[in-house]
Amino acid sequence: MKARRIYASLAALAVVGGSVTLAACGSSSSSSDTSGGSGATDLAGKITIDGSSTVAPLTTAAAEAFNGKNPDVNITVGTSGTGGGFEVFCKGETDISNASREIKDEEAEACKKAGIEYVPVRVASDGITLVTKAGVDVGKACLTFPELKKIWEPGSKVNNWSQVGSGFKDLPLALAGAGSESGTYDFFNETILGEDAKGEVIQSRQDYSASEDDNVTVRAVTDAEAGLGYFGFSYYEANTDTMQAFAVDGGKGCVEPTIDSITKGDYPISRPLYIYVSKKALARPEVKAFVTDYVDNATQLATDAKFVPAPQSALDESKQAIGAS
Amino acid sequence: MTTLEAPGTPPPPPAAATRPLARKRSRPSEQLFKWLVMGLTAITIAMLIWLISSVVIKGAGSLSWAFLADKPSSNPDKAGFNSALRGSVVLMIITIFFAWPIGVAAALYLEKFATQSAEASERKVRERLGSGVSGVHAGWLRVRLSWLRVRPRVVHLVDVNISNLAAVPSIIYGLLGLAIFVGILGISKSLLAGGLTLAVLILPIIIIAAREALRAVPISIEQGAMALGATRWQAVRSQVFPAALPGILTGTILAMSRAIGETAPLIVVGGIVFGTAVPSLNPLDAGNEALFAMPLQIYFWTDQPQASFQAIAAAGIIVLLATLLVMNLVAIILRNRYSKRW
Repeated sequence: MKARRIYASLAALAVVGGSVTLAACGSSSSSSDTSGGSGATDLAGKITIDGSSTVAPLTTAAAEAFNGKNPDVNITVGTSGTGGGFEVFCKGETDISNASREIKDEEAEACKKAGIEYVPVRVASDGITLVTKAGVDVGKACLTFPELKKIWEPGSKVNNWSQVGSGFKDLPLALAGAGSESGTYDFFNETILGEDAKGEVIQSRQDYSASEDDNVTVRAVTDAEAGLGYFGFSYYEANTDTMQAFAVDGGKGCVEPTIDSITKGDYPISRPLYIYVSKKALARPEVKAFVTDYVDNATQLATDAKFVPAPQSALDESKQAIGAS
Repeated sequence: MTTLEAPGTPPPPPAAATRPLARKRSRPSEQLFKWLVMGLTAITIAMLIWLISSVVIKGAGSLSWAFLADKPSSNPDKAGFNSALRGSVVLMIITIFFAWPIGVAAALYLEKFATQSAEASERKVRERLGSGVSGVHAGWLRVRLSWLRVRPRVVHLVDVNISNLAAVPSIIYGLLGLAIFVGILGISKSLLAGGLTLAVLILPIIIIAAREALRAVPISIEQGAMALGATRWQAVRSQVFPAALPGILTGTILAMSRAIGETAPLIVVGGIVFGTAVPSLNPLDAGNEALFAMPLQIYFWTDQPQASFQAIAAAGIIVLLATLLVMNLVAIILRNRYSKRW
């Protein structure tokens, strides 16, 4: 009798699994269809991608489009960050690494040691956009690099717009931005604060509302009376009704962040977005087909996924690099 | 017999302690405390209601059969939760398959066998050693004897560490899983590696809950069985364990509820948020399936700029909560079905 009771309990436990499984089971038919029948090829295999979470949505879009044409190619995309992505990429665990910056020297060294050769392929652009709440007038609509440096440099005590320079109004300045794990943070510091005497990138002041989740920064800016925040252009694009962007003067006059100015690189805090493809993987037909497809459609994919496209000249170069290897 | 009351004396007035409690005048501080506690409870419940309703308001519109059936996508209107849901189901099956037997066995040993019979066994081994055995057998007995001597200390050490392990941040388990299951055992970064990591993560919780449940069974049950001639194993197997089972199962499912919501260790073990193939529901394939999980997918979606991703993230949270509720429901049913009072 006791034994029966135990079995009953185990059966009941199985019900937990079972009932949840049912929820998923009903949809099992959708597991491997949805491929448009036209243009199906005989390419097959598995492509493993990891890296920057900024680039991931674009690569995901490319993978979806490619999978539609080649249903037997299985593509996975992880988001362990640009640095985390390079770490596994240089161990040979992934075929492609998404990157929101160029590979660092020590990462390249690790790749070289493991015998991993790669091709950097530019796929899109991004502009770090500086924003404040919509409808707020802080005195000027354009920020220069020295002004930004004054606000963000380590030890800065600026907490009112009037301290930034003449022409700014007496309004409290609340800061928000990317957290230190983010590639956006690295890039912003590198561009605005530059390097110290030892060649290391200067880290910005830390007494601001920092988050790895850019949507938190969006909220921090819209909640502040006259705040200043920065994040990737797509977060500004999705919130144009609640916030306004500053033009930025990097020494050649004020430039508004727009898709056009970022693509061309006129906007001073714009950066290229890459995928790094392992040469060994590129020798496989399915990887080559995927990367070629990605670059061929990069502009359309970027527009659809609300990214800023890369200039055509860069895409042409990328295409040559793939073809040559 | 000698203290018979003399007839005629009136009965003594009831002692103060026997007066009904409710008739006691409550002190102001008592009233204050009551209101304070009630207020805090209300705050907790209000926060829970606010959280759940805000999620439901945001996500209910996106919740549909297609949402449950579709693969993840870069387009929020087409993105579905199927891969994540399947990933989490397989993860839970693997986690319980490994964590439950090991955890319950460890609890049984620590609670019922580790310390209680040490003296008796030591005496028995000594007697046999004294009775003139030699060679390998004697050596074996000596090893057993020294083990019996250090055993209480080892058990105490294990005891303390299990309690500490339950408080270790979950990302540490992720690193451990990466080092052991992926690094040393060579399992690919898959649902299997993720499930094993989660199993290690909830093992201390299961052990503690199971020990607590075993301890709650009155010792007289076990002693009664042994007095009737049962060995300790028989007593534990047929009396103590079945009696403790409802508590053990409740603890197990609470531990599973924790595992299903974990994100950090899965990111470390190679969790992904997009794959063109939907993972198979067969746990035997888990070693080759990409590591999808509901909390990972939700985390990725909340980080996206477009507002429609926030809506499907909320829908994902509803699905996760529903799964959790089903698990808790089973816990409640089991507890009511098997619970026994002494």
